[in-house]
Amino acid sequence: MTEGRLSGSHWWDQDRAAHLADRPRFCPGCGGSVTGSEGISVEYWEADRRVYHTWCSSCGWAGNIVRIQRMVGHEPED
Amino acid sequence: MLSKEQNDRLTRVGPGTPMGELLRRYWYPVAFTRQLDEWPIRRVRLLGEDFALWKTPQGGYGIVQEACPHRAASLVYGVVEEDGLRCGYHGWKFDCSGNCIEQPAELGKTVFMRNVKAFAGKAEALGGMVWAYIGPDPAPELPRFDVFVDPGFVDVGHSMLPCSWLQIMENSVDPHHVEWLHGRYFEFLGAQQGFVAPKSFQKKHLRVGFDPMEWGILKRRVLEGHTEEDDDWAVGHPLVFPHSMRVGGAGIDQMQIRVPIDDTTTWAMFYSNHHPEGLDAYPEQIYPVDYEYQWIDHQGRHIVDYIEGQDVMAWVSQGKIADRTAEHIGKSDIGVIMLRRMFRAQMARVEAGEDPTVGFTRIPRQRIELPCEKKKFGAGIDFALAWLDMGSTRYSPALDTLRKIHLEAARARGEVPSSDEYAVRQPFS
Repeated sequence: MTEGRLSGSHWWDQDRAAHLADRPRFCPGCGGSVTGSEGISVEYWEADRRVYHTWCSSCGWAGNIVRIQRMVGHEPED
Repeated sequence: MLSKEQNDRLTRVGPGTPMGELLRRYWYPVAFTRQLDEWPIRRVRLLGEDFALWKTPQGGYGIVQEACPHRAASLVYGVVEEDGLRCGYHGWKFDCSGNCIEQPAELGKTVFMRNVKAFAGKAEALGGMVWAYIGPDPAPELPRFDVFVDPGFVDVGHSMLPCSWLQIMENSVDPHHVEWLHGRYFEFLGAQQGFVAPKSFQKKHLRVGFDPMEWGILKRRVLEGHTEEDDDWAVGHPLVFPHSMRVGGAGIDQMQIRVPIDDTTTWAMFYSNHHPEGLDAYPEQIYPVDYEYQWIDHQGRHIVDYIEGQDVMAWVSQGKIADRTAEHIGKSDIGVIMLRRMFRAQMARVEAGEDPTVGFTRIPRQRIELPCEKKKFGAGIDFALAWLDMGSTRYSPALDTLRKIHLEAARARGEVPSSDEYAVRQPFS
C-alpha cells in the first residue's frame, strides 16, 4: 500500500486478516452489501470493544455494530 | 481500520475513480493571479490531470488539457491571442470552451475543426487566486467564503507535499492532536532547543464534538479551564468539504486549502486574512503576499519547530497514501470516521447521477460567512503574535508588517503584549 516505505503492516498481517474477516458484510436494515463499493464499515476500538461504524448506500442505514465475545450482565460490586 | 478496497476508493482521485468523480464537482485554487500577470500561461496539475491555464487579453481565464489534440505537444508553450490559446507547434487554436477555431495548415478546415475539441474546464479569480473547475457542466458556483472577500491584509504560505490530500483532511477533524503535537511535543522541543513553546496549545481537551453542516463538519472543543460558553465550543470552526478547513482567532481568519494534485501530492496552502479589531485600514496590496513555507531541511529531516511544520510531519510521515488497513483507531477518532462516512455518502450521490449536498452550491452569493471562533483558546494579542512567530508565517516576507498590524490594533484596543520584545515595537503607520 505505502510505496517504498514499510508501514509495519507486515508485522501483524494475520491479525489484520482476522479483523477484516470479522467486519459486517450486510446491512442490518435492508440486507444489502456494505463492503466494497456499496457502503463503508470502519472499525474502531472503545476500551476492549471492537466497534464497526457502518453506513449502507442502498437504504442509508447508519450505526455501530459491536463484536462481542461474551454477553455480560451487571458488573459485580466491589 | 479499513479494507484495502475501501482505502483505495477513498484515496484515488484520478479520472473515472469514484472519489475522483466526486472531487471533480468542486472548485480548486490552481495559481495566484500574480503568476498569470507575470506570464500569461501556466501548467497546472489537478486531480491527476495536466492542464494549460491562461489569462485572456480581456482579463478572464481559460483552462484546457495540456496536450494539444493535434499531436500532443504542450499547450503551455502556446501563444495567447484575443480569442484563444494557439499551440506553439502547428498553430492550432482553441477557445475557452475547448473548441478548435483554427487549423492553419489544413484544407476543408471547417469540417475537421468541428470534429476536434480539447477538454476545457472553467477558471475564475477569487481572493488573488485563480480557481479551476474540471467537472461536468453545469459548473456549481465558486463559493465566495468570507476569508476570500473581506477587507484585510492577506498572506498565503504554500508548499507542495508528497502525500494524499485525505490524510491532511483527516487531521482537520482530529482535535486531540493539538494538545500533543502542538502542545507536549512543542514543549519538549522548546526544552531541548531553548525556546518557550506557546502555552495556549498545551491545554487538555475535555470534550470534542462534531456536527455535520451545509459546508462540511463543524468541530468543537472544550479545553481545560474553559466551558461550553467559550468560543471553541459555542462557535467552533468547520472542515470545509472536501478540501479545506476554516480556522482563526485574534483577528486572523484563515482557510487551509489542500488541493489534490494527484493521488500522492497535495498543494497545502494557508490563506490568512489579517484584520484585527482596532484597525480599519491596512497596508495596500495589489496581490496577496505569497511564499513557500519550508518543511524539510537539507538533510531530509522535517522542520518541526513551528506549528504547521509539525502538522506536515504528521501528514507526510504517514506515507504517500496512509495504510488504513494497519491502523488502530479509537473513540477519539470519531471525527475521522464521520469524515470518511461523509465522503462515502457524497460519492454514492455522484455515482447515482446526483449533485453532492455538502460544500456544494448552485446559488450565487457575494459572501458566505462560515462559523469560526474569534477568541480561539481564549487568547488575544499574545495568541496572534505566537501565530505569526510560531507558524508558517515566519517564512513570510511580510512578517514584520503583520506584527506591526497586530501590535497597532492591540494598542488601539488598550491591550499590551506580555513580551517586552513586542511592547517596544513601533506600529506600521
